[in-house]
Amino acid sequence: MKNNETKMKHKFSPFYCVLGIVIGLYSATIISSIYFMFVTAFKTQPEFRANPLWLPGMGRGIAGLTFNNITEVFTCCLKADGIFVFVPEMIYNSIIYSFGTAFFATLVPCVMAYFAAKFEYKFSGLIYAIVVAVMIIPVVGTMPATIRMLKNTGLYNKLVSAFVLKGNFVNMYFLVFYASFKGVPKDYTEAAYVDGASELRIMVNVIMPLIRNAFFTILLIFFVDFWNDYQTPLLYIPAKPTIARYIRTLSTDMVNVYKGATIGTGSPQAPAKGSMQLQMAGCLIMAVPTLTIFCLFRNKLMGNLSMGGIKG
Amino acid sequence: MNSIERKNKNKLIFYICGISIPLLQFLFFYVFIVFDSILMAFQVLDEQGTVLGFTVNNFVEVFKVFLGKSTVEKDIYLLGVLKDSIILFFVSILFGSTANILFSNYLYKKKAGHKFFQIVLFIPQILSAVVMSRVYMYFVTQGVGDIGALFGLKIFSLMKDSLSKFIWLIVFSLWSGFGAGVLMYTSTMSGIPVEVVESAQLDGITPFKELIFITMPMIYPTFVTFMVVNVASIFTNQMHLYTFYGQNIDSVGGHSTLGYYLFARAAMWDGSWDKYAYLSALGVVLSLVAIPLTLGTKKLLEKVGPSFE
Repeated sequence: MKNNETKMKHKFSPFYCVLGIVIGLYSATIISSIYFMFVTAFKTQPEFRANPLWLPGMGRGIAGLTFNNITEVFTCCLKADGIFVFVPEMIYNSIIYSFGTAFFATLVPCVMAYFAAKFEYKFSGLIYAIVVAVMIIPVVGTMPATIRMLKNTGLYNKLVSAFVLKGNFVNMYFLVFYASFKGVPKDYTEAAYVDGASELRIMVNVIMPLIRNAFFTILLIFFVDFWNDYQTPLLYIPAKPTIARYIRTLSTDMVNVYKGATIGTGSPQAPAKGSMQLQMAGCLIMAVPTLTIFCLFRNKLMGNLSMGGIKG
Repeated sequence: MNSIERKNKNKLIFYICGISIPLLQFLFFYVFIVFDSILMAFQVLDEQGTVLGFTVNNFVEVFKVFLGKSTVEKDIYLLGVLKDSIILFFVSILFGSTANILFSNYLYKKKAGHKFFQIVLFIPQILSAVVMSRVYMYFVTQGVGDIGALFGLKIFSLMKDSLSKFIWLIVFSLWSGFGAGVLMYTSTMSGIPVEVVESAQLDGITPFKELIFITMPMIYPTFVTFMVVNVASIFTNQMHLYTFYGQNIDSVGGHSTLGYYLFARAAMWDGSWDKYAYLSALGVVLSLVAIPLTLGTKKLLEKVGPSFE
């Protein structure tokens, strides 16, 4: 079946014209947001008051431009679970949390999908059924029970708890991996058997390399999700705040943000004062890694992932 | 034992070893947690989490909170919160899903600027809701006045009372909700056989009719998946309220969602086990509503869907 390389026959259509204008306006608001974040992060307070929308320096010349907001974000610290946590530690927590959780959240469904797709036991069908059932059966309000489980197992407030919680196979990416493994011809496995390869070698050296693109794409998607996620760390790892939690706190709960401290100097001096420039500087610091990943791997991130398929 | 039997045995051992750890994880961190959540809903717990007995009072408390007659949650009227959750759900379905499909159709048809728009529409998926919410908050409160001033207009904050705050928060949910949906729909649409589209176009079909009578029926399974996901998240959708206000929900003047309420209370009551039992009971009640609703929606949509036999 030919894919859709169709030449569009509708030369001019008011329908697409209106739609194009709507998407254009929507795109303008998104781009304006990124622009606003970038320019505000480098403005002084008087510059922002006098010139909130344009580039820094258009109101007060070079005097309106500053890097102090960025510096201030790095010199503030967060009071989390009764202790002061500094920005380098929060960045470290974010990196471990995002990379580690993304790795396990990708690896586990991948491995499970391999077994379900490539081993024709009855239990493999059950694994597939479990995934579909869990995805469509909403269970609400299990947070207290999860906290109790983590406290009872000694995992509460430990970064590793996120790996254990998120490293499950019941997510939509199991279905993506399953479809990928089903699409690998049996000839590969049979040829490897003839050559005397073990099951482990076939899995690791023959089949997995064939789906490495899908693996890498899903890993990136998870990394971006977990980098931006402040809720899981807030609930299950409150003493190990991530940069996402810090930036959210910087925006809404300034009472927990302190300044005038450096690592090793004891308690910080005073609560920090919030400002739009400080918030935007924080947002910029948080957005840089994800925007960089998006610029570098745009095609991979936006690659073809489909659910449900075509009717017919 | 011959070599085939040995090979099959090794294969089975490898299979069991491979699936055992993910299965254990699933049993402990999904099945057990769901079971424990139901159990906790019936437990009397002291502040340290010691089980003192079993009761149905947690469920009684849930119904009291729904009716605004609770002594634990004096200022909360969950029926109002439920109403807001349902409004958010219908707006998401009506406007969010429609916009997702229309935007995807534009990209699928490769109209002017589609490559650029595809990138921009994916940005909400990349940028954190924290970042987007701060910028959005500025624009609807102060920025709109600054922009108005450029044109000599006096415009005040768009979030001036509780209703307008609620409306603009729903708008934020829609505005920041594109990304994965557009990507999935566009990807599915691009799999529609070109022969079907071309033959309809030869018959003189208009673009709008093509979307309604050709594209929509062809992408119906994806549409059903998104609808089911929407219904399943009716009680967990937070409308980004925690991102905007943290625990200071009073800022929205009484408007809230059940998703926010559940999360905010779990975060606020950290370690208050007696209150966690009530929260678990609320979760059980909401699950009992959400499960048949989701499965019913799935069944209904599959039943009324287009047939291609």
